[in-house]
Amino acid sequence: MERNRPKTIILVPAYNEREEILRKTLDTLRESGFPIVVIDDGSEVELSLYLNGLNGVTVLRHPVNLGQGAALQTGMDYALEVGAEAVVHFDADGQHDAREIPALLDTLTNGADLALGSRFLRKEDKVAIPWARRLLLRGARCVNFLFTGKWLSDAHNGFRALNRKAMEKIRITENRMAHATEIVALARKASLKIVEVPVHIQYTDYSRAKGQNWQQSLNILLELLLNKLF
Amino acid sequence: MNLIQIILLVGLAGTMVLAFVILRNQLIGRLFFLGQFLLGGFFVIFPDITSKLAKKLGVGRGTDLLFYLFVVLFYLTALVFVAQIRKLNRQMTELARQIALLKK
Repeated sequence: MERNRPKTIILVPAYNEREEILRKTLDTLRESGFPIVVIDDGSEVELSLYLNGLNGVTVLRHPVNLGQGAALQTGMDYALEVGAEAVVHFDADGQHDAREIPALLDTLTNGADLALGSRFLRKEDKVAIPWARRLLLRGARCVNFLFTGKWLSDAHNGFRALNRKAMEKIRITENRMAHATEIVALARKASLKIVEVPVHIQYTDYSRAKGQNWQQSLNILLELLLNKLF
Repeated sequence: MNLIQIILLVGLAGTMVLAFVILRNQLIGRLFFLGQFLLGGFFVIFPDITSKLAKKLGVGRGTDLLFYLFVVLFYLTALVFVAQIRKLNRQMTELARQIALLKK
């Protein structure tokens, strides 16, 4: 029931997303009834040009491209500013299912501070993952455990929800893709309650082309190591 | 293990610590880099000293000694630069974020 849920904002970081894809994602999100904030991470064509006037959608724009981590942090700074009690991180490319947002939020209501979507908790979600990606993700969760000490079945899932307490304790400094691990590491440090929630990720040719390949994964690992030193 | 190996190993290991100190303390950083120039000038004026020093440390030629020192100093400089760039990156991110939030 909407009334029992805390004031929630959906954060959608976007960079050079194709107009029809982003519109489709936002249309399904608007059905959920929550206010939406799109963070335009310095897209070549300003997203507000075709998003302006969309009911329930606010657009924040970085003047330069900083990365998904930075975009999410900007969104959370905004959410805190306007008094949100919870935020949901939602991908712009249509991979996430807006109907699963209530499940994430219910997890927060039931005591979690950080609700993380996982593709590995239900068989039907697991088999939907392309095999190469599944292999990378299996490696990623080992790396995540090494850096955070928290074992997750899915360490690199952009579908998450944070309550206000988590937003206050977590400040993302990893601008690019290493933020996924950083969020977990900071949550652990602040003794926040982390719970994984089964979610289904829809892979299309478009989103597959954008996903992590092994070079990017290696880059993320090196980024995490470098940060430990500096 | 001759003397030069010990010096270089300590130098390489100590590079991190030295970089850390240089980044925190502007004066030490400036003195350090000024010192390098003075040392370089000194070796240019008295090149024979490098050969004598090299022999004492167990290195073949004075040139080799200078080269080894150069390697360690290069790593140190690179570390300091990378750290400065990362710091600038963080500051730039905050600026861009404030702009985004102001123009909402």
